[in-house]
Amino acid sequence: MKIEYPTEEEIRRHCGQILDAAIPARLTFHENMRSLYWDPGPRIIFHQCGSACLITGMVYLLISTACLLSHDHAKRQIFFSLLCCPLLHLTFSLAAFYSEQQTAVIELKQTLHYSFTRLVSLRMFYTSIAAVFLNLVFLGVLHSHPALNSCSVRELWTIGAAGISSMFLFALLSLYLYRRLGSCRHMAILLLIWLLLCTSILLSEDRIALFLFQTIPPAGHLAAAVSSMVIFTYYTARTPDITPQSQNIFTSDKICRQLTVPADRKSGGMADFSDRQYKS
Amino acid sequence: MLTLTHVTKDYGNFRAVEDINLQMENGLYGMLAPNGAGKTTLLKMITTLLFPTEGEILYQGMEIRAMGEKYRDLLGYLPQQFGYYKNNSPLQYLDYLGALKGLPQKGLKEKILSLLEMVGLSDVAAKKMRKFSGGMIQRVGIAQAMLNDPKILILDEPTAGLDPKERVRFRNIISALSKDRIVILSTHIVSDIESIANQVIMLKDKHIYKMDTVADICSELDGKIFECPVPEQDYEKFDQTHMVLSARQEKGFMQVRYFEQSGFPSADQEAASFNYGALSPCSPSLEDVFLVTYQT
Repeated sequence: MKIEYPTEEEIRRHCGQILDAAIPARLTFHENMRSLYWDPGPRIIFHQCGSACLITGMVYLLISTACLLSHDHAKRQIFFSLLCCPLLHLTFSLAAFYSEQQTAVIELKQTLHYSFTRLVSLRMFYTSIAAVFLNLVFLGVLHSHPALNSCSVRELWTIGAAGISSMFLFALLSLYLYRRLGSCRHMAILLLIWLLLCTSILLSEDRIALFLFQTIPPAGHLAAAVSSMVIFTYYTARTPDITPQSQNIFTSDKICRQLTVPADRKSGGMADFSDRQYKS
Repeated sequence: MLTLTHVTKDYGNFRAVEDINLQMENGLYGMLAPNGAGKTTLLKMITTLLFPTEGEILYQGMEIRAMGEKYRDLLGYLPQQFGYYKNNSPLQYLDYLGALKGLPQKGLKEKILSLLEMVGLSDVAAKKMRKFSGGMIQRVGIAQAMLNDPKILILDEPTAGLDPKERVRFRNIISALSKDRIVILSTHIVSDIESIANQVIMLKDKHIYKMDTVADICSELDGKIFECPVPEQDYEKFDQTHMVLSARQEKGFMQVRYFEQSGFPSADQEAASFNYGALSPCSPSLEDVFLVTYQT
């Protein structure tokens, strides 16, 4: 009987595969950062997010126009400027998540190498950065055109820093709640809370605005912004790549259907078999 | 090898499955049970969408939850409700899913094209999926499940809603795939697995009722399945006193297939007392086993 032996090269290759599996290669810092914050890439992270971008863009246009038109009313301008950052972030996250739910792709994505939980985390991360960038540009426009704003330079940049820190705090809370609850309802609630907070500042006496934007130094707001950004960045990378279990958005409907199956079928009665129907 | 040890799943006070013990190696496993028996719950635990309340699931001796993305890289999953983007073509959608599976861009397009050819969709690879039929969507689903050449392929009721022709096509594809991987196919349509499954897993009362080959499962009902013609006017009475599995209307009588626990002699006497036509014993099919098991 002829016995086939592997060649030396095959043996070396197989041994190499075993060693690679047992001792994974060390990643450089750049590769590590890339794997945490970049892969699978923006094209995949924001796949089919066009409608969410459109909705967010429209909201942004509305708010920035309202802000510009309030150039002779400082408190209103503060309201719109402060509103912007978290609102953009939450609006986009909510719209994107809702769109995914409608196509019923979440369940499948949760079983892939880059799970849906990871995609949501990265999406929030990049949305935060984009929101910061957009708002800084807008604040820059206001700063360079004094006719368009009635706030002082100090107030303007303090508002910017406060907006950024509040956005990252909301993003952190939003991501934490998603991991725990697995749904987008909490994002809508957070959006509402932020709207109410900003409205209360607008409608309240000037003391609150004075305290927030003049008493607290800009450095304080900047420190809050930077630290909330660092914490959120760290938390994004720490996303466990598992399905949120406490609220199973995939099974809740099915469980309800199973629990309300008619009594005759609950006892193990018949379902369809090929093309024939049977009496129970 | 995929091992489930004392796996139990509770949803609050409701227990979906209890003390499930399974060991699976390469081959096709048909998970057969009526609606609400716990098939989908079990499959979701294997795909890490759910975690067991008790017990553990191991792959090659390692806990699947601890393996994380390494386990998901070995998995191919076609959910019961396969979601897709209507304005994507199969090429675009599979390219997207390939990237989500962490597959390198190099060679991905060729792989997608070969999979689309395998499932018979190469002619419509660039067509938007909004124009596809249910069977075509399911075939895209099987193609995506195979993208990463998985070691474990999970198909949750993949033929529900498909016409017989599509079901046969699906069956042939799945049968070919089961040679060098674990394929778990959950269904309540017996014909889907009767001819292709290496082993059938039956669930009843939240437990594993049986796990065996089709032939061995069917042999348990040897000598207990009969067919006889019953006059139409006597059919109702017959139905009340026997476990009828199927009844087919012929000219002036009903051709009835039924289960008789005590076997042939008793059945023959009964047929004589009812003045029926010739009684003939039949080879039990998996469908007969299913009906008998879930009626009692």
